[in-house]
This record gives sequence, C-alpha cells and structure tokens, in this order.
Amino acid sequence: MTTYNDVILNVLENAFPDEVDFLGQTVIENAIENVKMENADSASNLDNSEILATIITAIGIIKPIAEVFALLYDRLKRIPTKAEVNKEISEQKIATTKNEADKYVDLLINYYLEKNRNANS
Amino acid sequence: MQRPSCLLYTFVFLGQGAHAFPLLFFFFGYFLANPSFSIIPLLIIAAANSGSVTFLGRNLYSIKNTVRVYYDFLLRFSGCKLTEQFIDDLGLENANGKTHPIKVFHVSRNKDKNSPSPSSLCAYISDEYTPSYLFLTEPIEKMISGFQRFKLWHEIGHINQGAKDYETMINMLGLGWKSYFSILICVIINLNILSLSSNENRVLLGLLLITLVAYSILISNIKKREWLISELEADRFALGQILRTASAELTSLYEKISNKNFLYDKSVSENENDFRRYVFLKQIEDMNFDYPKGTWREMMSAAINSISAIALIYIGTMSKRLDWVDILINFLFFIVLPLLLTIILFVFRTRGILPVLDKALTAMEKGDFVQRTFWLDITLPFLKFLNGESQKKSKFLV
Repeated sequence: MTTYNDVILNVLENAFPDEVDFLGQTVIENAIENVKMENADSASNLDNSEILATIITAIGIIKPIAEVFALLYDRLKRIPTKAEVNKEISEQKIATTKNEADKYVDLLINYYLEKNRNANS
Repeated sequence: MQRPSCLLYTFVFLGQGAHAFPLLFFFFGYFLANPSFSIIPLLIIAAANSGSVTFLGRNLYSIKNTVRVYYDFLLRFSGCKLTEQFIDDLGLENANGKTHPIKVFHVSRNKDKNSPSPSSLCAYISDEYTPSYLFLTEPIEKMISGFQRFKLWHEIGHINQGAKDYETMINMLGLGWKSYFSILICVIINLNILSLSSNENRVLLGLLLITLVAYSILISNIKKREWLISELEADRFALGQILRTASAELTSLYEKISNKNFLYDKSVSENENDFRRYVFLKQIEDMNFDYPKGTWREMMSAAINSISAIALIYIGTMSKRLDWVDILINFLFFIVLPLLLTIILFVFRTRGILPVLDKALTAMEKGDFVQRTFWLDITLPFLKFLNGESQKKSKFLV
C-alpha cells in the first residue's frame, strides 16, 4: 500500500465510515488498487455489491481530486485552500459536483493538517 | 397469528409424516387390503428406510460441500495465499456446548493480477465428522469493529452446531427425491403394474402425479423457510457472542442497521429481508426476543401434503399380496442398497475427496496455484444433478 493510497483510504474512512467498516480494510485497499474481485457462490449472503459499487464510484472521484491536491501541495509548499483546489479541479475538468468536491477537499485538508501536526510533534 | 385448529394440525402431522416416512403410509394401505403378520417386517423396513436414506443424504451433503470448497473457492481463488487463523482466542462459546471442527483461513490478494481475489468472507459447512471451512478477507485480529465481529460470528454461527444441526435436518427433509424415489421404487416392486386394468393404471398415475405436486409444494416452502431460519439463527448466535465479548459494539451495530440497509440479501424477497432486519433489531433490544417459528404457508403446504399420505395409503391397497421373497426384495432395495451406497460414498469421501482438498489447501498455504483433478472433475455432473442446479438461480459450481 503506497502512501498515496493511504490518503484515499483516509478520505474514504471519513466520508463513508459505515461502508468502510462493513467491507473491511483489505477490500477497500483492493478497490483503491483496482484489484479484480469476485464473490464465491457460497460467500456471505449479506449483499456487499451495492456498497462496493458506491465505494468504487467514490474512489473514481477522490483519486483525481487527491492528485490535484497533492500537486498543489508540492507546488505551493503548503496546504492549498479549498478555493485553490476547486479552481484546479474545474481547470482540469474533473467530473464531480461542487458539494462532492467540497466534502472531499475538506477531508483532504484535514488529513494533511493532521499529518503535518504529527510530523511537527 | 390465529391458532390453527386441531383438524389442521392433523393434516400437518399427516403431511409431514408422509414426507419423512412415505413407505409407512404405503404399507399401512397394504395392511388394510391384506391384513397379516407380514406387516411387521414391512413396518421395520419402512422405519429403517428413513434412517438408511438419512445416512446416505448426510454423506452426499458432506461430499457436495467438500467439492464445493474445492471448485467454488480454492480453484476460483487459486493464486491467493492462505494463512490459517485461530478462533480459540475469540472465546468462542458454542450454543449447545459441542465443538465443531472449523478451519479458518485469511485469504491474501491474488498474486496473479488477472485472477480474482474474494470480496467477501465465505463459509462452507460440513457435517460433524469433517471440518467446515471459513475464508476471511481480513486477518482475524483486524476484525474488531462490531460489524466485522458480527460478520465473523454470523458465519461461525452457521457452522456452529446449533445452526448447523438445523440446516442438516432441513437438508435431509429437503431431499425431495428421497421421498419420491422411495415411492416410485415401492410402486415398481410391490405393484404388479402390468396386471392392473387400464382404469386402475389411470388412478395410479393420477395419484402419483397428485403426490408429486403436493411434495413439490411442501419442499419448495421448506426451502424458502430454510434460508430465513438459518440466517435468523446465525444472527442470534452472532449477537449473543458480541453481547458476551464486546457488548459496547451492540449500540453502534443497532444504529448502523437501523439507518442503513446493510443487512440485505438480494437473492430473497423484500418481505424476508424486512423480517430478518426486524428480528435482528428486536434481538439487540431484548436478547430473549423470539420470532414465530411456524408460518401459515408452511403449515398449509404440510397440510396439502396430507393428500400424499392419503394417496399413498390408497396406492398401498393396490399392492399385490407380498410373500417372503417380496419382503426380502423390499429389504434389499430400501435398507441394504442405501447402506451400500453410503459405504461407497464414505470411502470415496475419506479416501478420494478429502486428501485432494487437503493437498489443494496445503498448496495455497504455500502460495502455490491449485491444479484441477480428474477424480473431482468426474463427480461434478453427478453432484450438480443432486444439487438440482437447473432449478437454482445461482451457480452451484464454477
């Protein structure tokens, strides 16, 4: 698991805590890394396909936003603001809604703040 | 629910009796037409037949599940490394004090990128003589949240003796062919069909068709109920274990299941899912909460099967008069043959299938791929037939 995937996992854990808990960390990591997954016929009959589909859709949106965020972070040498990230998102034509983007950017800001705080302490 | 009448109970009793001991009803009809002491060995044959066919069913059930582990899981996820896990540390407390052998493995990501990894935990339940298998997507020490613990305990609940016994019993009952084959063989060897007049033949055929339809209704309803009871019992077991070991998790579990539809199985109806969720939440509120075990649908289907009981008695009256040779033939067909088949299947299971499965598990524990084997491949069509795959929505095997 790369550090970059840790960022996405952290965002998912905060955006979808129940879903991540239900699926388990390994399945989420597999989803982030595009690992081919299947259910056996005798698998637990608690249906996880819709929950997994929700998570995979979210990953599809979080990944490019996280990339943009990381790019700006490297470029600015500080945590970018929400407006800066949103501007970059619209310039790069990343398909997402304003609310969704705001939610994930907030979580990314929190993640980086926490990370910096831990690094400084 | 309104209390059913005594008359309905009588029909239910007759219907279930005809399903469990079809020969008993046939020979009772024979006795009415031909009262003699020869009924005594025939009654013994009828009673013993259920036992010998149950042994046969149990072996088939076990073989079917063992082969299923191999094809449905090991071959499908060949390339995933297995690591054995130990559930003793979880403080497992069996509902009835018995222990059942369970082998638990954590399944790592497939080393072949083009082959799949499992997205859900998976349980294969066997009888009490061979281990059941549980495959986890998370290592056991990481399954600490209420949800993860619930999923783990739920599957162990299926495997656990209490839930398993019920499932095995239902599977025995669910072997529709057991009852129907017994009747067909009984008709062939005890009725001199060629000597029956065309009118008698029509009556016989009509009665057999009615019996088949009544049986089918009963079996279909038992199968529907089997899923629900099995899930409810596994849920109850899981909640009991969480209450005992991590009761604080129950509150969050209650909130999550109340707010989101995580306790959902898309292969069954909305009503059944709603009922399961209702019982689940009620049980968290009060662990002593019980759900109604019988339903009108089941009772009515058993009552409908009482037609089979009456039809079997009538077919019995059409039987030829049996001498000692006929009784011996009955004995051979209904007791010796199933027992012989049981022995053959037992040897096949212990000497043929289990070593192959062990070899495949060992290979995956080392991180190697699993190879198909000739002996298991040739059993597939037979097991698919026994499983009634053509009637099922889901695939039995890969």
